[in-house]
Amino acid sequence: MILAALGLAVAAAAAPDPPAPESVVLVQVYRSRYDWSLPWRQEAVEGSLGSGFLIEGGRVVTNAHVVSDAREVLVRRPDQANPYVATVEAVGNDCDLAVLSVSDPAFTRGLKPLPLGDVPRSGSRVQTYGFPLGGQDVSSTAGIVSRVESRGYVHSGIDAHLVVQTDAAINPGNSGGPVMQEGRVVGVAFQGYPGFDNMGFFIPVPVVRHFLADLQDGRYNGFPDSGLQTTPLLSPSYRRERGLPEGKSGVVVDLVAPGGTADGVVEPGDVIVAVEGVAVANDGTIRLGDARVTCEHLFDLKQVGEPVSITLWRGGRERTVSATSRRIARLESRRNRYGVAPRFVVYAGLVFMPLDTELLKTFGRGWPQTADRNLVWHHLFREAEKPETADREVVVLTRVLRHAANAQLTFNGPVVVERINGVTLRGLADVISAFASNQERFHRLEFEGTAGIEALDRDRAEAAHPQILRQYAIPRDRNL
Amino acid sequence: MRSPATATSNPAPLAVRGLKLFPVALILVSCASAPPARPATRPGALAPLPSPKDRLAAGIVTVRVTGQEWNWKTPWAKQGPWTRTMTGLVVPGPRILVASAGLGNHLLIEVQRDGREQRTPARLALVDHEAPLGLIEVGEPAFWQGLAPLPLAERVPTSGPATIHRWPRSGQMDSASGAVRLVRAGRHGLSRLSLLTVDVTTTMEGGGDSEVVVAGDEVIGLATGKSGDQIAVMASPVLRQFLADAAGESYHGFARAGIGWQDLTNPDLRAALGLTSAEGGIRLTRVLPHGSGADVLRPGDVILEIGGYPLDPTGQFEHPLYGRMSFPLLFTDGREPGEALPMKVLRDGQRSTVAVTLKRMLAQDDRIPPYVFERGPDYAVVGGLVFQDLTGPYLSTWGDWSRRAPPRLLVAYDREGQEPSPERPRIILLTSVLPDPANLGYQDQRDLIVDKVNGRPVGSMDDLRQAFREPQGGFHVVELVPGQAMRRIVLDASEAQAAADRIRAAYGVPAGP
Repeated sequence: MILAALGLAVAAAAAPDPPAPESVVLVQVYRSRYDWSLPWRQEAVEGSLGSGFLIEGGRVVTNAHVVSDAREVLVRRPDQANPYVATVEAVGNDCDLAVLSVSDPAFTRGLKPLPLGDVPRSGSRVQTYGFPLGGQDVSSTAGIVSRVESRGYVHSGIDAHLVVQTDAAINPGNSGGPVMQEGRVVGVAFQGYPGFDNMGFFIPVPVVRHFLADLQDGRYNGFPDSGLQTTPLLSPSYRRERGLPEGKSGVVVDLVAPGGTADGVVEPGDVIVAVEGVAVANDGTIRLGDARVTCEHLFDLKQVGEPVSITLWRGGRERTVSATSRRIARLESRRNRYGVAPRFVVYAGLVFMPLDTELLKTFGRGWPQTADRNLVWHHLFREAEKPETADREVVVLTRVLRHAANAQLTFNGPVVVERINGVTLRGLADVISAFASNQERFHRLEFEGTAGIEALDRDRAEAAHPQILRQYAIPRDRNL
Repeated sequence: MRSPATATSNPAPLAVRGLKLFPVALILVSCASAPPARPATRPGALAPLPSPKDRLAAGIVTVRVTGQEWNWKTPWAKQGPWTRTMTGLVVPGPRILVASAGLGNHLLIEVQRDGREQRTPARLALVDHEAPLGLIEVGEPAFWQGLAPLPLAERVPTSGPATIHRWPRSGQMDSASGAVRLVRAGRHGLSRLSLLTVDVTTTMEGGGDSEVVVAGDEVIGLATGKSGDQIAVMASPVLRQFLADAAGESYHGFARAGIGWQDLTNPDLRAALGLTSAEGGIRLTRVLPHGSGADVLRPGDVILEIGGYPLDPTGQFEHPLYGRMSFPLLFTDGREPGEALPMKVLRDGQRSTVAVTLKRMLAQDDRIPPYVFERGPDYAVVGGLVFQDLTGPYLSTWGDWSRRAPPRLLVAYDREGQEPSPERPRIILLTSVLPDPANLGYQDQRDLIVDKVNGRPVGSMDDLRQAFREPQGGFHVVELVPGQAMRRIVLDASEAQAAADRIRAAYGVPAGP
């Protein structure tokens, strides 16, 4: 099944609840995305619409996907004709939230910020507000809360946080609009399943508050990563093998990712019995109100730097340890990327890029099967199989821009570059120095596995380099 | 038998090989009821000479093969049986020669002649799936009455007309016309061998089931595949070589290089490697330890010449009969495993001549065998966990598997599939779980690569069975290669034991492994 961030469609207007719908604004965006197959290039400008709402401090909350890669953002009040120019103050791509500000004081005049509420109960009624398909007036739909759970956020592709499922129509254009209950915001509408009409999702308040609290120091750190890969202990045999007494429950730790919250504190084989004193069930869930959600939620609620207490069953006894919440920076390479220009180096027509999800996506949606299998191994499996190499940045020769100086070079699709001129590459920047420091007649490239080697005449490569940049309209030869 | 090597500058073994094969050619001629070379000198024939059509009818038969594949997803069961009809060529012996991958997993072979429905039981005398070629014996002497081998061409034409023959149900020989497009080095069926191949264009419907291809008065090969309006024909010199080999005391098969290589068309790379402008050559990127030359060649070597033939930078050599051909053909064309093949190699700037001993490489020598015939999946069921070694047929259960199979298995196939490892000759999978209280909590696990069982590394099904004999503290602990859905699976060893019969009964697994 494919989750799609919402873009455009229609929702029936229902009788609005009491809260002031004029605090719900239309967000109009002109964006220009980057092109990972030609990394120096931006795509043509495209327009799109979303929703947002006013909170304390004159700020507007919306979805990250509404404003990603924005070059201009306009917000319009439903009671006024002229839009205001807005500035993107912060974007949390890992939680699909963004905050906008408007410098013109006229924008907020007469508007009341919407107060934040709590996680709504399953079965309770909620009201969504927004601008499906744009339009002049706020559209409102009513529904009930179907359930509260942890689920993947499609915007980044790898993050999972709390979500609330509702049958209130959430359609493209609703993105970023508030979901209200009793005059308070209980969430931000953000994603749905194409083809599943009565299943919309909104970002609940704990995630919104986490995002806003994170911003208080003026900088967005993002959600911490526990770094834990666990197996539910649904097997009574496995529980006995771990020596877990009857009545105790938890999940067993398979892997602890370097750099995450649990690194150095939790070990593979430990059973996580409780987090923050909240008991973890054998399926890995904890109780949250009247719902059950994954215990990852308790790690997720912390800000980077905050302590989290973990109760472990290890070596036949229980112990409670404290860990500092941390974020694993290298996971950025696994996310869908927005608002950042691709990193690359072009030398004599050879295009080098770091291996990341965006690069693999250039192979098409089925990239885990269709991309070069060495690339897939590095991206999806290497860290688990060889944890000591976790921080290695893999450099890929992604294409060869043909020119007389390199035309004879064999290139059969993207390959991992192991060495250039004898220098083992540990990151993209090494490509520059490896070429620059060479005094030999030839540049030598060594590829991984059975992809062989290549060579380039250095003088001819040097001479061709500026010509190739000109011919192929590449404004600069690197973005490190 | 002519081989490219018999021409000029070539080493003795090849000439010997030519001599050795010569008697076969004589037998072929003597057995054939073909018109003698000078029919005019034949004194007053009593019967009319057989027409070309009659000669063909006497040399071509139909082979019906009934077989059954295992069901690799439920490895104790077989799929529905199939029957394939293919064309057979009468060869001296007398026997029937067939070039088809359809001989794998056969249960019954029947032969028919003259396009008639009457079937005679037959048996497979010899099969080489790597070609793929098979020789069929028929015990019933009456079957052979009036049948006679057709002459097999010593060399094949590179252009000109050809006809393609088979017996359809109608009882009249189906002869389609075609034209030779080119002669090349090619692969047939599931084989990785490079064999002399003729591409023939034709308007014939279907085809590729070992139809007999004739040019002039001689058979130039058997069709092994068809795509569009073109059939791939395994050329007669290959068939002659196979028959000669099969006539010997023991069958040797065809050799394979077992190397990975890159071409050297980039002049900068050639210069950087120290190659002169007059030299060609290709560079080795991989040398498989079970291939020809494993002890002699090394990755990074530049192969300049093979058997006296210089290679160009794309790996082509000038075949004395057929023009430019890709070099792996030199490992099979007129040569057999065990022979020494001289190669001129550039290594670390030094040119030297090395002798590579040709080796036959079988599918089962790969870590992931690309195909498996004549045996079912090797599997084990422990506490409802089903284990099997990773093979081509298992991957094929995904259909268009290279786009559908789980990514980690595809990575294994590309990165580890060909390279045998003495400690881990096979990749062992937990393929599925047969749900039972004994395996509660693991029902959804499937297609995970196993690392260890009960602390012992697992590189074969034997390792796995041995490891399960030694539970650890009353538990079976299956450790999976990290990065998959699960890292460890723990079963209570006595529960698993007690559940064995219950699970077999519930899922229809026969007693055994």
